[in-house]
Amino acid sequence: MDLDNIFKQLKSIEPDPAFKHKSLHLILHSAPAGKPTLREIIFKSVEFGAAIALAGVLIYTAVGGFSAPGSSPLQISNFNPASLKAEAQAVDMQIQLVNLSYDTGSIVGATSSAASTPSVASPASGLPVLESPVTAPSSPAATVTSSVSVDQALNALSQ
Amino acid sequence: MLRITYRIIFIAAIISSFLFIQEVRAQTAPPASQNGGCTLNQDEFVKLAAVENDPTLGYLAELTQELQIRKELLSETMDCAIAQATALQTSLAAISTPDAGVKAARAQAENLLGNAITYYGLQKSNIPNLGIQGSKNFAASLEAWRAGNYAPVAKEASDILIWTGNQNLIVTAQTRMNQMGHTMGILDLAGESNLTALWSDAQANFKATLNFNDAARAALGNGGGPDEALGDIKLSLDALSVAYQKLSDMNNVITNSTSSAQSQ
Repeated sequence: MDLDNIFKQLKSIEPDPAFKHKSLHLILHSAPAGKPTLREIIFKSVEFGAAIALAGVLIYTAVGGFSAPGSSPLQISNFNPASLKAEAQAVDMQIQLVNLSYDTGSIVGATSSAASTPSVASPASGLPVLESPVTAPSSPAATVTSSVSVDQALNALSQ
Repeated sequence: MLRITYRIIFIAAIISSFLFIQEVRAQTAPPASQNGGCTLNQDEFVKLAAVENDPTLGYLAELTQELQIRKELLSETMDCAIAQATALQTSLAAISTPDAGVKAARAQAENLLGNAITYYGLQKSNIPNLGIQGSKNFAASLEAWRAGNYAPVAKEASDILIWTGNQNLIVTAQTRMNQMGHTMGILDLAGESNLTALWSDAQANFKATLNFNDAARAALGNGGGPDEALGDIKLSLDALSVAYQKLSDMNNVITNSTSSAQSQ
């Protein structure tokens, strides 16, 4: 058989009429490509808006905005010198408190916001180094008057 | 795919909110308790020296005035000792700690401080009967008693208070470190060699802070003695201070980088 005859036979090939009819029916009556309902539109909008809003919260938190209330969200509060310095100062004050160490009760409230400042003892007093300065306007002998600890008082009274 | 992204963002936002709440809670720590308010004025002791050295006073007048001043000073000193011990006891009662060992140490210290307050009260009742030499002996005896009995208890109590106060600082620092680590990742700062070195130092020092803090807690809980606990507390705070110094240095690097970028 030569090729011409084969091609002539191929021209006459047709689909089964029933299959042809069924396929045509399926194509013509299929549903149009999904037109969203009102409910779906509203849901998608809310979902998208919430995602955007939460992403904003995430970014704001990631750069530390919440740790510095009132600051610009663009500021990276992890590197906010003021808050960092405040925390470092709190640690330093606690160290000062520890260094004062045992003063038979002067360390009361370890989270004290301010440690007492050591003062200079009056040379005329003959008492050892004193602590918390207390102003005493009635004192003619010393320009700076101080309080003494219990142990210092007992030591002075034993002599 | 988009929906999965939304959900990841939503979960991340919830986690961030949780961290924020934790930070707020850490920053609203209980207020500091107050001191006993006791003051022994140095002027009173200057008056005693003045009476002893006053040439215008006769022998009897000098003895009478000196004894009166000594008794007053002893009485004030005892009041001060009682006030300070009471303040320590009150502060101990006010702290809150979940650690069972520290709780037990606190209860013991509170009990011993109560005993000291009772002892002071009994001693004070003897002051009116003292003569000059008796008052001197009384003061010397009390000073020795305090050094041997009261001082260890007061040190222990102070250590407990300081350690408890440190926990708030450490929680705040932990939050700071967490934020910093997060920011280093978010802003991809790991490529900055200066920052990376500083950040490593900060992390190492903060880790040392936690280790020494645990050692101090153990010393308080197992009766390791106030000096051992105090040593660990100091080391813990020193390491924390260095960690903050490194964070501050990181701040300077960031600030300088930002300034030079803006000027270009």
